[in-house]
Amino acid sequence: MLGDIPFNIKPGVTYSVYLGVVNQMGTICYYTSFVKLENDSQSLPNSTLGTPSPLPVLYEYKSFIGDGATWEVPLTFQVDQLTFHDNISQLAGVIINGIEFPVKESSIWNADKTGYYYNLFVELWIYNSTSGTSQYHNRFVSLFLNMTQ
Amino acid sequence: MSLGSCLSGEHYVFAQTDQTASKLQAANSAVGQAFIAVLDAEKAGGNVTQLLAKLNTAGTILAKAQNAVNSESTANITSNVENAIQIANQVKNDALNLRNVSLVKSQNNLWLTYSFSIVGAAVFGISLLIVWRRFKRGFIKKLLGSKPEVVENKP
Repeated sequence: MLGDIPFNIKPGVTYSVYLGVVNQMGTICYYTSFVKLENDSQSLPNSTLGTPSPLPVLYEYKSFIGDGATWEVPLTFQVDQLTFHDNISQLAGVIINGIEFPVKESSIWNADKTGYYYNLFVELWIYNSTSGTSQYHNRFVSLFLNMTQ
Repeated sequence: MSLGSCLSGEHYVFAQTDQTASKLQAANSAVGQAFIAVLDAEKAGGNVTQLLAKLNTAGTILAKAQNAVNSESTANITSNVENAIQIANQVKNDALNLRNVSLVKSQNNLWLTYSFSIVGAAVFGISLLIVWRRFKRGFIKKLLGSKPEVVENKP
């Protein structure tokens, strides 16, 4: 249900969603899901070019999924050390699945959408057995978040 | 003196970070190799369900270590990395064994299929021959036993 997706975020409150991956690649796959955070002005992964976001990884999941199988895990998050000053919100910490990650993100008041907006997004990477490295699989999901006091 | 100890402390932190990074790299490599071995075992026809479960355990432990590094914490990183490497190596060995067993099994199945096909084809051919010969014999017997019928020609 759309109503259950977190949107108006308060500091100190834990929000929970589920992250799922379905493998339809015809064989077993090794996926890494990277959780990243960006403010309203930074860029999400580029679907046209197939490039990931250059932002640092906060949290990661590793999963090995059989063909046709589904992998699902909880993703809980909480914003910490959120301050508002002169139409700018500053975020210094995010707690993901109980682990606190230091961040230095700020968002300017968005007059059109009336809020301080951030995106918590998850990129899907896949292991290439030929090169022996993980590469961006050109798939991501994002949560559009409005920080409130 | 205090500056000296501060500098040496910083040096120690850098050295530890490098060591952690190289350990994480080794664990990532071990998990990747284990995955490739499991993939090969699956291609050889092996049932890799249990190996996948073990790989997921190794992956979760490795991700936990990486998340600790990302959160600038040092808790249990080394032990988690070593655990992940150990499980990955075990999975790799098990996968190699499973691949070999599966290859032998599929080879045997192939020979069995060939043998049954050849025997089946031979039995079918012989049966067909027997049926044909019986039919032929019966037909000739019937032909020889039949009497010619005289039909009067009436103008």
